[in-house]
Amino acid sequence: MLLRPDVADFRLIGFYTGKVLIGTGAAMALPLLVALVLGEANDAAAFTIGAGLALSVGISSQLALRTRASMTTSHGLAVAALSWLLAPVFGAVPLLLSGHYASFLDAYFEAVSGFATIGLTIVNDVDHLSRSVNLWRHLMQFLGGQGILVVVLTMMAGGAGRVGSLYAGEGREERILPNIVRTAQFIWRVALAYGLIGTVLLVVALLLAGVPLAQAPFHAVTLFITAFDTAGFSPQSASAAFYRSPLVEAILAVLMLAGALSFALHYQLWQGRRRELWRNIETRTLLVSIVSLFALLAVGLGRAGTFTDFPGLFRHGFFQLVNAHTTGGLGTLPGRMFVTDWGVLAPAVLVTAMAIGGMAGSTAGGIKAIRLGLIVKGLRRDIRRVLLPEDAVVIETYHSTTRRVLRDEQVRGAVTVLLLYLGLYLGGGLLGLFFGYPFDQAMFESTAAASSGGLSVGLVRPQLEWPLKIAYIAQMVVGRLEFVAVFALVGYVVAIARGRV
Amino acid sequence: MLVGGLLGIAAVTAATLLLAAIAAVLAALIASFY
Repeated sequence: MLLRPDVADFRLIGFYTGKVLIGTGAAMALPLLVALVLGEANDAAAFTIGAGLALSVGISSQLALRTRASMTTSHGLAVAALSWLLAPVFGAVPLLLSGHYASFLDAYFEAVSGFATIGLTIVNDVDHLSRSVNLWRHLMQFLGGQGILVVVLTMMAGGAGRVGSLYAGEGREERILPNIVRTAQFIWRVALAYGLIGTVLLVVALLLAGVPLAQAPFHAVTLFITAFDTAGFSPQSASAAFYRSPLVEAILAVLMLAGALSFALHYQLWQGRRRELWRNIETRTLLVSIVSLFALLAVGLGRAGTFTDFPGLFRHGFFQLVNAHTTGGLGTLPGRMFVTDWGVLAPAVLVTAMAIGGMAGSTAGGIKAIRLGLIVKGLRRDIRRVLLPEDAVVIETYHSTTRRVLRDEQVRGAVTVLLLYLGLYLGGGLLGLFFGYPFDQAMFESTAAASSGGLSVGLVRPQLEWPLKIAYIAQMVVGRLEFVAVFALVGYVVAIARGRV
Repeated sequence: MLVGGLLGIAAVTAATLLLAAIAAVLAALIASFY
């Protein structure tokens, strides 16, 4: 626990958060350029104002807080938490000025949802949103997605010993690459490769689906970002259903699964160690989880009589399940149908899938496959201890890059985070109940926010009660940063409140 | 690294298709009951 931070600590946190704000402001240059080229004058002004504000605050912080102190893990975690809270403040400015958001809170909700790659949207009339603002919504997802990878793969994995057991459960005590720069380079290389291939394939598929050539590239780029960063915004209100194309959905499913794989695994695959895909504890956990949840979902849909034919059941059921499990958040049908047409078992399966999420060290959210896998391994070891003679030495191993021996503190860390996530899901759900929403819908929406699943049954809308909007924003940030970074920031805030600075 | 990357992407695509095939068989099986 942080005892007595001094002014130098806060300078350091402010200094590096300022760098993130400069990056946010600079990134607005792209939608600004698009707005200028397409003649979207109002939005060009909005991006100029937004970028101006972000850059002014960012640059001021560099001048005022200049420091050469070295960053420790707790500083880094606090910077991450503060960045995910502050970058959306500036990211929300052009959204608000577009006139498509009812209030600054709504615009901030959307920006947090973007940066945290959640995908819950609160925009009014997305179908008539200008190209530049729509691009910015998706670009925030890309920046947030790539950003969280850098944070998780370097700060949390590299500093696991100091962060403590909450991250030891992730099985990545060593850094996957020696330093932050090389990690970031690898992340960008993978994103670029998937981006090039994915976008080209999506353009072809969209053209085949009847999207005009002039519009296909925009849709392809935004859909690629939303799928690969397992985010969930889409350029149309009908989401993936807009294209009515199984081919588009298939490409999106591959991209979402690729996005939900950890970058440590991508690294292994790119090094030619393709067997890792089969041996890795996380891919095995995901495989078992997706297949068994799909079977449950199919039974639920069959019982409810949602689809009268096998192709419909498979197409929508599989896509939505992959979508929920990878915390993607795209839809092949209106989200409201989950509660009106899918019966009771099928939507509960989707909630479970979102709650579990993808792999640690990916853009996917949720509890993460590694934690579930380690807990199951821990349970297996405990059962074997009971069954075997008392003097037998029971050692459980798992495969993650190499064969590892399961340690008690890993299981403890995994269980702790599992409980924290369950508490986060339940907490938002209870607040939904307080405002009179049915249990299933309140839990669906709360889990979608906290796990970054991003599917919605319709509660998230401009008319949503403001305390729930704030609660979902908090859930999105806390769930995205996997608690520890937020705890670090709270530690610094408490130190200020107690006058310990 | 480029070839490794392309093969890695191919492996992920193949794994997804395998998963979809398993799901299709399951869906066909379960749909036949209802």
